[in-house]
Amino acid sequence: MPHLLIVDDHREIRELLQRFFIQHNYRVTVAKDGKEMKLRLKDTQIDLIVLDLMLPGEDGLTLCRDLRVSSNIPIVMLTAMGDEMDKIIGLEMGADDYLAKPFNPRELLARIKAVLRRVNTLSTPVSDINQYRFAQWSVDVHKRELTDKEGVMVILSSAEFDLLRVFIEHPQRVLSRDQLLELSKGRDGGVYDRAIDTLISRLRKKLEIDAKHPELIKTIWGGGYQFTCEVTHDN
Amino acid sequence: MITKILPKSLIGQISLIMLLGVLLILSVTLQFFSDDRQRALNYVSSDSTLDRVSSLITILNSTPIALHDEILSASQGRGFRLSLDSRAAVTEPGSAELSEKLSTLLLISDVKDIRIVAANINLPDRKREPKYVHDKKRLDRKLKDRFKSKLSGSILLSEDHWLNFRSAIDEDVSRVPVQTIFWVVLFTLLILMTMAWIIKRALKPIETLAIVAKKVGTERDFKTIPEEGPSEVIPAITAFNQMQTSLSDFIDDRSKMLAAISHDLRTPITSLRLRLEFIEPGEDQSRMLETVHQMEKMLKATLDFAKDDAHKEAKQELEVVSLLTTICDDYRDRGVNINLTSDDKLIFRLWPVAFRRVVENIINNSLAYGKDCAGDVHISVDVNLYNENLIVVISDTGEGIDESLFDEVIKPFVRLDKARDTEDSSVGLGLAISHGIIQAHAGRMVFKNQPAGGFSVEITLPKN
Repeated sequence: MPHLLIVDDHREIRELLQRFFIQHNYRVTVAKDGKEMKLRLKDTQIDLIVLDLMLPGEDGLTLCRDLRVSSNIPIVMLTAMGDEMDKIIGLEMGADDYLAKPFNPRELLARIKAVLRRVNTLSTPVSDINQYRFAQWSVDVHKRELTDKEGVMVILSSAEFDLLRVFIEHPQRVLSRDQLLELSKGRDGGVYDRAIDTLISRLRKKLEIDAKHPELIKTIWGGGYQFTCEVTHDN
Repeated sequence: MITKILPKSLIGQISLIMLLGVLLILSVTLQFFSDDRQRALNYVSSDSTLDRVSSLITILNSTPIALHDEILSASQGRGFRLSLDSRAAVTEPGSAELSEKLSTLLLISDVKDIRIVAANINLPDRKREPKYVHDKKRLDRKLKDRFKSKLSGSILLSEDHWLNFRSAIDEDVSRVPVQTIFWVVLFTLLILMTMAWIIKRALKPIETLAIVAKKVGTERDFKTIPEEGPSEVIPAITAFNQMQTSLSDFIDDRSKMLAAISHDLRTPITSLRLRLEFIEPGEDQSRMLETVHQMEKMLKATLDFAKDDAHKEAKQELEVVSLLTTICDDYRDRGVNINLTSDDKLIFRLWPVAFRRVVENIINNSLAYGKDCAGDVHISVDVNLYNENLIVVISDTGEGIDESLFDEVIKPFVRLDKARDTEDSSVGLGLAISHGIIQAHAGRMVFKNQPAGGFSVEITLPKN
């Protein structure tokens, strides 16, 4: 049974979240601020932290950054509503996912499940790499931006971006549709019910010079897809 | 009439006035200068002429008459003509002052008649000479005629023996030389150019003021203008800077207040949402979930409107077709009938998130109110570049909006009557937010009811 630590300064929210997650078979510890969070982390084995961005004393971003120095513990951040900046900074400070308040509790549950699954099953360490380059493209993972070498931004949907990220993190490997689905879901959960093939064709239209004769993402008969391009990164 | 000819700019007007002033002063000065010069020259030349004439008379009186012609021709020179005649060239009595002068110069006192005039008199034997008094133009042209007589006289030496003389000074010497005119013109130009430069410099702060004011209007970019320049302009700059400060304070306060409200509201909504998870599933729970969801959406719309995100986001070169494709794909995945017409690629500089919000708001509007008689919604998005402007047209096949309401619907919190009846969570901010963003881009948003039915929104964004 995974053990969650919920850090929020509102007593009612803490209690309700605790009740909600207990109902869904989680063990839950709560903390009202950064100080208490550090105390709880010392004496309890925690699997994931749900961290509110706005906290009295040390704010969520500072706590997140400090935590990342010493541990790899997954963090889901609760940010102000829809604020792009908070989201980007949160991811840069090392949060694994974020959700804007007010949120749907079920969505929070789904995200926590996804983060835990990614950490447990794939056990691929969350990569610190932010900037990738391939062909004429460069990718900023935190800002979720794709730009060409002239600095022109090309917009991808979140599902398309998740899929592209899987490709650039696994270049030259042949990935089956199932693997692509498994690897790309979770971040934003965008790929759940969309066919991989549709996403691939949309990605090709945006990335390839000639979408009908793809050079970057090749279809491997019977195998799936392969990202043939060489990927470099800054780090 | 006159105002049409006068230059519009301050520099032009002042330059014109200065030019006229300088020309007037210079021409008056030149006139004085040249008159003065003329007088001095005349004086010098008449004195020397009289000297020459007196010494000549002395010589003539002491030499035999047979030699007179030879002496005369030897004494003639540039601008000094002499002749011995039986009658006087000057018929009038002449100037007493000059005659007096000559008499005192003459050592012999038996001169019977002296007639000297400061005028041009033809010598009797010079008939071929042009009558320059009447024929001035030709005279000017000819070099040999450029000597203009200034002093003429006839002196009676003995019975029937008149010495006629005519002296002239070089006309060119009496005129203002070309060189002087050149320098005067050069100085005038120099003065005018210096003045234009000084005025331009003085007007610079006003130009800066205009540029900054425009930026404040479109991009909310508050930048203090340095308080320098002529003292007349500084109060305006100071006032402008103060206005900027209070304006930016006001906007800051508003943003802070909204951030506080949002923080305070999101907690109760979150806890409501959580509590709903513990209620028995059923009619009540689903209705309450809907209400909470609606509240969330309204809060989000209000915050989007108040946050003024367009001004925080940096402009970015964007492949616009990829953005519109992404938006349309998302709607299509949700079962919306939407079509995109575009070129392959279209690069434009804009605010990506804000622009996306504009397009989505307009599409959402069509989804809510653009149903045709069958209750379906067909949306088409059309994008192209025209004269370097980005033009996006989003149209539906619904009933359209009454044209009298076009101005109303872009006002915040305004909803059309049919919208209020629906259970939609609209707060009437979609088009207001879009309109605000488009304005911040210095763009235009034009509504149209299609002749074939349907409502269309045309967005025009200028380059940069």
